[in-house]
Amino acid sequence: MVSSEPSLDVAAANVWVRKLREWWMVLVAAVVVIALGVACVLVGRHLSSVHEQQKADTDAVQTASDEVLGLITLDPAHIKAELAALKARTTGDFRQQFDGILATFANTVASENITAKGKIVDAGLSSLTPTTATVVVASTTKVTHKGATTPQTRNYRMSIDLSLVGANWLITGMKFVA
Amino acid sequence: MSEIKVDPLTNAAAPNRHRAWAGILLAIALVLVLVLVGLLVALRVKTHRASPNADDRASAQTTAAMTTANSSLATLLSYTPQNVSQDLASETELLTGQFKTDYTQLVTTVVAPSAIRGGVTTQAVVVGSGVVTASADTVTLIEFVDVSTTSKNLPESRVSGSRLRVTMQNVDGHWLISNLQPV
Repeated sequence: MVSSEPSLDVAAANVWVRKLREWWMVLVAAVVVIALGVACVLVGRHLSSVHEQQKADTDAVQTASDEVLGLITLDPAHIKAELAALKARTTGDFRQQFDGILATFANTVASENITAKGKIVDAGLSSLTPTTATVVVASTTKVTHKGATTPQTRNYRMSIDLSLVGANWLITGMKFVA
Repeated sequence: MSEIKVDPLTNAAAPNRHRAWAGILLAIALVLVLVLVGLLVALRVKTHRASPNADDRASAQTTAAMTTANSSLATLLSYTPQNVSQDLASETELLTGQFKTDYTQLVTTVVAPSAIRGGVTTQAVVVGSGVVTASADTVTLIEFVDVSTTSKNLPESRVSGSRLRVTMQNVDGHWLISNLQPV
């Protein structure tokens, strides 16, 4: 038997062509799988960022609403615990200012027997950056005190500034929109 | 005749192997297609529902809705005895849906006659606003508005503050007020 070099090359090429014919489907399937995998990762990452954004929106509005609700819901018997909860949601200079009026506020509520039952009417996100937010809150409360035992309804418009500290939105400022 | 070395085992196994691989990869592709469809559906739901969790409360689109609401409210709630009727046509261009009809009727039958009779002039300023819910086509806002009023009986300006829940609808690329109610 004689085996010539060119014949071997042709034979080898034929083997490759045959292998390619046999495996082309596998190659195409592999490319499709890779493309789908990349698409899944990209869409998943976008979904995750959307989720994070939504969470930031919701958390900021919720924190502001909780603070306002705490401020307009007063019970002389639990005022210290209520004020501690309010203080826990504040930060920075505002926390110090808040700290400065806590004792007076608690004493007034207790001595005047002030009770208030508040309700958040609406709350909306005014502005948002990755680390700051401003939320406007419309609220209503029914107040009684020593001099007025019949509940008086009061409506408030408030603007709350927040900062993201770690994983939590904390309040850095609060004002009545007169 | 040339001699080609053929491995009978290789030749016999190759078709099975590539078919097996193709099958495995197609199965993976199918799973990935399902995952991708699921992710796209989740993304669609998350970005298009109108709820407090909607993602675009701070998006450019929503900011545009809020800016339009602020200027439209100031326009609608500011009037003089001279322009209260004349401006109605241009004001209704800021509105849509049933609210457009209701507003037109209210101004025609109540506000304009009262303003002309009493010499009432109002000037409205939006002093605060925030997005309550948002989706691609609808944005709900809470608006704080101060309205300063003078009249024949009230020469000194009196300012009253209100809280309004405003619904904005995107109609052909324009944000229009589709509902307005005090809260």
